[in-house]
Amino acid sequence: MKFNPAFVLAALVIFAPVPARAQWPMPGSPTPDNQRNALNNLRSQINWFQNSTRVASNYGDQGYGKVWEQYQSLRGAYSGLKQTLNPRQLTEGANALADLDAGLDIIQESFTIYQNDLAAGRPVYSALSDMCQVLRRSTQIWGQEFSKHALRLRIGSGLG
Amino acid sequence: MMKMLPPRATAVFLLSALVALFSGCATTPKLSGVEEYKQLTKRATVAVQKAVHSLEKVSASPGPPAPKTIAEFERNLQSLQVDSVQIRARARAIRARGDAYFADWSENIAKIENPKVRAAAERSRPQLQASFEHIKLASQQAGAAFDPFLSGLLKLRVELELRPEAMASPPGNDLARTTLGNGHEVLADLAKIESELQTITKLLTP
Repeated sequence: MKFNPAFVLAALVIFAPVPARAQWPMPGSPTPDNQRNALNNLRSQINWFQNSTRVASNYGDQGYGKVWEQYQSLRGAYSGLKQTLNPRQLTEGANALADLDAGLDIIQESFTIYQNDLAAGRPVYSALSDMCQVLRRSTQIWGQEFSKHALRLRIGSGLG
Repeated sequence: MMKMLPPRATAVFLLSALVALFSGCATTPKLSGVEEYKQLTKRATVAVQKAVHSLEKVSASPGPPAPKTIAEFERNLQSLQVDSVQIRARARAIRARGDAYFADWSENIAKIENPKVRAAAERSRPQLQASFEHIKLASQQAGAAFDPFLSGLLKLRVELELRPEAMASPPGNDLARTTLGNGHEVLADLAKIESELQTITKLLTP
């Protein structure tokens, strides 16, 4: 078979590894780029989550499921970000991270409250509206808290 | 020749000079962890007080409470759910990290630049340690008392929304009374935390 350089070049281009576009950055080494990507992703997830709480009532019964999915994406993004932190950030931010972790667990309890409300006979609309308002306001405070710590720990600044 | 300042500008200048002078003299140390915890405690205390007050109004009503009273109760309950997240998270973080949580505070105290504050901290080491222990305990107690308080309020919300007349029944009264008791317990625990945080600030003030 005759060697054809153009064929080899085309094969290289086709099979060359392409950076994957995952929903949140893959856990990796604590490089400033990884941290910045994870940080931006988390901020986007917070915004998308907040938006989902505003429009949930338009989806009726399915509104709950959509908000729940979006909340899990937010948690996933936060978890991904934590995996990009360097040892200094993990040590200096241990208290802050424990606060933020617990904050997310407590905010998540709003979903259980919704379930209990329905079981007690509360109409979907009132229960969903209350749940969404509490989630929206709570994650806003959580996001502010997170930003404060991210700044202090210099997450994504490249100065860590 | 020197220009005279207008009287208003002179007054502003003098006031600024006085503020600068006194802020320079201030010796109360601001330890970020302590100050932040004070703010969280104050915020949660206000939210719990409002919820307790609304519940008192609801349960004081001889018949079904007025829609305005119910609306206020629901509004304050929602604010409580939001404004208590940070303090409840703090209680859980302290429980999860244990002594390591306060070791971080001790490290921050050791890093304070003012040598007088550092000396005060060194002198009061045992008292500081005791305060940390008290805060740890009060935080656990506040967290433990908060859960039944919130749970009672949520059950009362359902009752008020679906069967407001049931509030005047013995089970409704019992639930309201128990929930009020839990609310007062939370307030007492929050006051203990605030008092210990104040003690730390005093101990570090040279």
